[in-house]
Amino acid sequence: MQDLLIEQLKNIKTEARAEWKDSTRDFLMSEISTDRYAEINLSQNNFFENFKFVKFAWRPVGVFALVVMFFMGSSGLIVAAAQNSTSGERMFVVKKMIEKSQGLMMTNSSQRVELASALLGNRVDELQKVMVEESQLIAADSNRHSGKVVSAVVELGKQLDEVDSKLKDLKAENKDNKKTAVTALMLNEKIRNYKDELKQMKEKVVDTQVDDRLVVVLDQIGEINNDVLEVIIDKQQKGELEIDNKEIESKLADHVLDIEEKVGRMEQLLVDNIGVGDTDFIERTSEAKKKIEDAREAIAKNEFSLVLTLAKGSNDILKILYGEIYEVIKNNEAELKVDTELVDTDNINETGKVEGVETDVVILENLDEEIETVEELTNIESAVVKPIVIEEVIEEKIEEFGVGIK
Amino acid sequence: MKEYKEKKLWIKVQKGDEKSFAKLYDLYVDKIYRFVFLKTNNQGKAEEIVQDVFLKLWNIGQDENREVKNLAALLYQITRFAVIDYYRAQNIDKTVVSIDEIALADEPVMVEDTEKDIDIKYDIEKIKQALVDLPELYKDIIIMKFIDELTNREIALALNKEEGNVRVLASRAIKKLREILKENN
Repeated sequence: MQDLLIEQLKNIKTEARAEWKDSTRDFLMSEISTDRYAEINLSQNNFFENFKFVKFAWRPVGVFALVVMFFMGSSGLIVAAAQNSTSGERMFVVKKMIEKSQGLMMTNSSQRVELASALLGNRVDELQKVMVEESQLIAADSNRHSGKVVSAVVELGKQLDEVDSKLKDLKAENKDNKKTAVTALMLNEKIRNYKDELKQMKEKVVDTQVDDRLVVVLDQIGEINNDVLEVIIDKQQKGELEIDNKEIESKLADHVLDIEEKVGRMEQLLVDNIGVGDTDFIERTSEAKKKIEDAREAIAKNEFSLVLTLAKGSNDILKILYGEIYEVIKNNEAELKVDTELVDTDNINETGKVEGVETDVVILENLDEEIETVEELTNIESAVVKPIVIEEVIEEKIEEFGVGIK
Repeated sequence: MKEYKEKKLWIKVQKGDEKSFAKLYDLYVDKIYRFVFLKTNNQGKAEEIVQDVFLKLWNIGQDENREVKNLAALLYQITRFAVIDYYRAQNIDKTVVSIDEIALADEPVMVEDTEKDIDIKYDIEKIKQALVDLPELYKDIIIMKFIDELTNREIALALNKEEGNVRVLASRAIKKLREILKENN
């Protein structure tokens, strides 16, 4: 028999206050961020000079909201509401205004990069929030399709452009100081975290529009990371950043792995859509793959700059390839659509399958014969197009996609 | 599986990953708070101590040479010492388990000891009050084993004892708790 006292002990679930837990988390994050700056060899003067701006940069809305309140005469409630708003909501405009006002307070390019990347974190959080909301709505109404997630991804893309732009300004200045080095290091860490979060979010999405946009966003992040790593390696080689070779190897390996995954996806796309006979696509994919293999060897030899050159080269090939392959896919789908529109729609049953159309491949007996009537076309399966594909296209027309959080 | 996930997070924390540290915080904050609150019976102090515990955890994480066998055990170890520091600062004289009692922990527990009075239901508030009156080691074991549901291995690492001793000490702790409850009733 179970001891009642032990059972009762298990029911003692005293918990901390929710608001205390949140504020403590914030406090701990700010404390450990401070620690990280102190560790990366900033002089005490530089530390205190930069700390006040950096701290505000990493906590975007808080203090600057007070500034906006003062100038705009807004109530605290409006600002608080804005803080929790997401793209598509009215208060989101206020939130963006507050964020813009923070940019005005930044006096150098490092701070602007830091602010831009901190705001990127806001965009990632907002996307997460709307995805959670949408999953609940989808559970309630499976036909629902909301543009909020798409909108959040668009905002994320815009903020990435902002980060990219500020980073380019920082690189262009080419200042020889530790602040730039530290900024690049922190940006790299942030990017890696955001990338992991976005990949996890992408796994839960079935809406192709959202999925495609997330692919673009992840590509953008990869390209920005390439630039950031260039700065880190440059500063390390100049002795302005004390960072172990092992740590750089790890960052580069992570970066190269992302591109390697893209190569893998490209290979799969070629198999699924073009067929293995398309030699040009295959050759270029192999070239991209070779560059990645060379990049791995370069990591082992500590030839860090070469790694980035090869990684960028591979990525550039894949970018062009993806563009071209999607054109081919689009053209294929357009052709299929023409074919399927000519199918008698009265024969489509509830499942979307066309009745009377054989699902097995029918080989055209007389390919050279002209097809003179629509009836002749509907009764014939093209030997070039597999019938299973036609079924899928029809089903797509009937079924509505929600945002579809898995 | 839980230990493996925590190990992965810990490795990232050691590399300075703040988000992983935040995840660890979310995983453990309630347990650590409960542990401290049940020992100190003071909400404000419990909150202060928990903050210190996590800051210490971060600092330990930045020492890459520090090997951590079990994260839960480490956390509770840090927490116990933090509470002891609090007692010292407050000049609170806390009853500890005597050496004789620890020695007795090596002896097998009689089965009949644990089967007596297992059907009595006590009031939760009275249990909490009785916990405060327990010797510290017994309190720690009861909270870790029965309330926070740590494994014997984790408790053993946290208390720097053998797993076998933890089982015996747990039985004795429950027995002592029951005695205090009876006295208070």
